[in-house]
Amino acid sequence: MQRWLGDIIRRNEARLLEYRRMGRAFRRDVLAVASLIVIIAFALGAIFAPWLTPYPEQGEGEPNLSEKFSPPSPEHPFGTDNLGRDVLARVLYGGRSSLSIGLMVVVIAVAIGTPLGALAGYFGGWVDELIMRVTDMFLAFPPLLLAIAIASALGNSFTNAMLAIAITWWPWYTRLVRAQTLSLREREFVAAARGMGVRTPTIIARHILPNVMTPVLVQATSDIGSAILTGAAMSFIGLGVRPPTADWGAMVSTGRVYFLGQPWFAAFPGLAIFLVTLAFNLLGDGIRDVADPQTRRSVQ
Amino acid sequence: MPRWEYLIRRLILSVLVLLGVTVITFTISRVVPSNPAALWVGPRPTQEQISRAREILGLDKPLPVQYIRYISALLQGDFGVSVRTHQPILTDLRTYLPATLELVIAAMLIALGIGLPLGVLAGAYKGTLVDAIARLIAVACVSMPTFWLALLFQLIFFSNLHWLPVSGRLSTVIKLTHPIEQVTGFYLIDSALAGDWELFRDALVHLILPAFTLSTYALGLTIRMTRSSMVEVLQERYITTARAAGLPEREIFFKFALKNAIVPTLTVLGLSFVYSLTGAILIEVIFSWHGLGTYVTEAVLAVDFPVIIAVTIIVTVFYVFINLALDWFQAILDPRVTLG
Repeated sequence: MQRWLGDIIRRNEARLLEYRRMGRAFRRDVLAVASLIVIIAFALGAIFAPWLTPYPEQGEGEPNLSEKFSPPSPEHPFGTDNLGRDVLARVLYGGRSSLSIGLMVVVIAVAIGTPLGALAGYFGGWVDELIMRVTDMFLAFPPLLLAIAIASALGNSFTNAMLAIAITWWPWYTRLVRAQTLSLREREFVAAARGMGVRTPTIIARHILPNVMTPVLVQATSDIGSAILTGAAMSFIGLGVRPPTADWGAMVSTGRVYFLGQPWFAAFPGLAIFLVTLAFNLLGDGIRDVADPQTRRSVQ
Repeated sequence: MPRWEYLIRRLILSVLVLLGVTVITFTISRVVPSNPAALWVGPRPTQEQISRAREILGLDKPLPVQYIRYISALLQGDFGVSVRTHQPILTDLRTYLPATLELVIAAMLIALGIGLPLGVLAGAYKGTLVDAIARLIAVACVSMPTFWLALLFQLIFFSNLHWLPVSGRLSTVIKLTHPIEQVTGFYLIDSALAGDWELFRDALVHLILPAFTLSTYALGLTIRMTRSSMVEVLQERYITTARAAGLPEREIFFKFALKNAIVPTLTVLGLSFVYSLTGAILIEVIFSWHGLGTYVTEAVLAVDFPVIIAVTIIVTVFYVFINLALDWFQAILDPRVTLG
């Protein structure tokens, strides 16, 4: 066991050292660390929502009509909504759908985009041409509109909204991974593997993919923010979660009718969308800075 | 590659991309749904409606034949009939498109007007307080849910300050007393053409809130891209050379740096157009602005699928051609482009 662990450490020594350097640089970036704390807080809030709020049944969607539109008070710090539900409870529960849509969209997009990009970059020729032209076609659409069209065609549900956004998102990863693979393909260790007769799928899996993961992860972190924003926009329009499930975008959508009289109802979920998206964007910037000192020196 | 060859190549590529776009929309509307005919006639269809739709769409024919029918209808401007308004979609678009374009163009002008100078300043004074503030504004702008900002603006500038109207393109009184002659469909231009300045003023104050709300994402993007292109240009050798030659800093900045930094930021125009259009979908409803966005959102609620697909195609065509025009413009301005 110990020898096995030692082997792994020795083999990956350079990479581990690099990660430690990144960790140290990251801790110096105040904005990025603060963003990470905000994200963790929202995630914990969503996960432990039933224990954090005294009104878990309202968070789930049960109406409480005797307390409609109460302004913020000690019992209801964020006030109550048009059905008398505690807005804080709804915001905590809403984090479940918003955060999971952001995360899942990026995961699906990476899962589709990365292998396609590696294939295009590694093989070149007609494979490359085919994959990249399809990518161009998807990128020609304004992203939100394409997602709306796909979600409408699939039928209105949370899963379909998520799939629809992911389908508009993968081409970015294909482009990114292809560009990385193009330069990796010419590197000596890949040429050596080829020369030793290692099979192509193994080369891609063992030598190409691990080396493109850092830029992909950097991109993915910033993208979670935009994915959450897009998910909120979709549910604001009316595509995605169905009532009574709580969702930030849907809450702003219902609350906007009452906004000039009872602003708290739409204000807090909107603020949640803004803060989480901002946090992911800042975190993404911070990670980009530490992962890629090259751009930090030249552009930042 | 000679310049004209590059321009033509880009044109052909754009047409091919558009062809691909129609393949995707065709797939979304005919292959993905379990019952395309039902989707085409809207919620709660009768059996008779469905069989008629099947006939019109040619769903009994093989897919390639269906696709050829689909694309020839598109080329004739036939986008089908809206489930909700029962009008040919093209007729609806004629009234909605100018309203959205007016809003989008105003938003782009705001984004560029504020974003370019701010980005240039941030790039030139990299690492200073100005830079930090500009970057924070930029990241806040791209993280902002515009549909929420729209509500905040209404609360502040209408409810509290009473400075600006809450929604609509014109006040009711003005609409009744000043009949607008639709020439371009842009109220600002139409009223100016008619010389009706009261109408112009009214249209302008109604435009301010939605346009500023809409400009946020494009603004954030413009600041970011202008800043990084400025930083990049300032590191070029010719800038160092100019400095070493003792040219005044002011001349270096305006004559060499700024001029070259602006050209790559032109791509921002295309991006800010598409993001403004996307944003318009979200905020037009809030401001009761009767444009494409309202049209799409109402279509989503009414499950008016033909409208959703038609708007997607139209906007994408616009986007592709704007990008083509920008590429051409860039190639003409910057001789290095044609080498690549």
